Amino acid sequence: MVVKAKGNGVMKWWINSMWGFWLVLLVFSLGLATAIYYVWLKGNI
Amino acid sequence: MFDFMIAGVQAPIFLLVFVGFTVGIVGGFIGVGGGYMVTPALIVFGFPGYMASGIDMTHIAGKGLVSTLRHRQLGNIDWTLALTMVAGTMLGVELGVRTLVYFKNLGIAGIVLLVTSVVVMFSLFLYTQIETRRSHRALDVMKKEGRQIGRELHTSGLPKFFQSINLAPIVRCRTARVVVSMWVIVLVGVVTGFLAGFLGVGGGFIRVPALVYLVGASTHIAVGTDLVEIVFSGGYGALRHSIEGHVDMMAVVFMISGALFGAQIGSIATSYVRGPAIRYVLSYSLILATFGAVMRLLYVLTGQKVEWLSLVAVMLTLGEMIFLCLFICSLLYFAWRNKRGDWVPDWVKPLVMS
Repeated sequence: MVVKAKGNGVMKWWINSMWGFWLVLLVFSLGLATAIYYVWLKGNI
Repeated sequence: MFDFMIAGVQAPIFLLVFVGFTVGIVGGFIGVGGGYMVTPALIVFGFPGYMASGIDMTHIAGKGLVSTLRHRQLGNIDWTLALTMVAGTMLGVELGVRTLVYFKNLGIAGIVLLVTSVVVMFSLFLYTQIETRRSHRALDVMKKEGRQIGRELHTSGLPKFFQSINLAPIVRCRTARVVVSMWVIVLVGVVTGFLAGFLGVGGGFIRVPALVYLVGASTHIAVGTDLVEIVFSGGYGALRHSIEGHVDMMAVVFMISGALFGAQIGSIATSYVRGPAIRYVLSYSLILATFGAVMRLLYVLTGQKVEWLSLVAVMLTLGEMIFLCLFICSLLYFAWRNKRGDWVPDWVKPLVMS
């Protein structure tokens, strides 16, 4: 079975490091949460 | 455009389905009801607090039932453990509620609740995170040495201590493969029930680590067994809230329609990962919920005048649901790639089943 290698560089670090992956997901999630707040919720609180 | 009035609130239907779906995935995966995420979210959507609590509890009962049925099929439920613990949990919840009333009469319930939440969740996060990283490293070494590894490994010494307590009657939990004094299980039920009753939550995030680290059950069994408890407590809570008129069935239907799919995905995902992966997600859930509680605590301590603290708490609540959901879906995707022999990050390999 051939195991394909992923690309090198910064992107690989983000995915290959648990903390990097964690951070990318967290930033994305908080960004999405902010978008949801501004689109649907602002004014409700 | 698709929004209409639910419980007197112009409710965003898409968000109700979305919250049900994301919390369904998380709940099915780590064995929690997710009340500590859903209730604040519903309040943010504009529902009054009592309504948010009632809708949340009713949706948890439905979602818990779906997850329990799925975990039953996967063989993740130890009925002896679940039913023995229910007795202790009921007593604990009653004690917790009475303690809460005591602090309410003193007029300091809000602060005490938030401080206790922060301390309990942060302590659980710290222990779970440290132990899980240790297990992750051990699994990594075993994998590199080419040794056969099962779906569970935890390195805590606490279960050995609790299993060595020789106080009759001794219970043999066949599915969990644990032999332990009945009083230990009841005590775990009382303590976790007390905290759940005091903090006003279902208590899954306390019970799952307790079942793993105190009783010695595997994480998968802890998740399935805890969901049985959630069906009991959620069902009772839903009944009580319905009688009081705190439940809007329209909101529940929208949330459950998302949760039905989410809970299935979350429950099935557990069969593709090893125990430490579930414990990682649980610990992330705890630290994010801790930050949310710290923000709410600071908001209260500053006389509810610093608005951005409340806003950050909202972002953390919504962000936490999305983050946990994405993390679980990523693990599922990596597990699928790993099974096919495709590239996956090195840190994922010990966490997913091969």
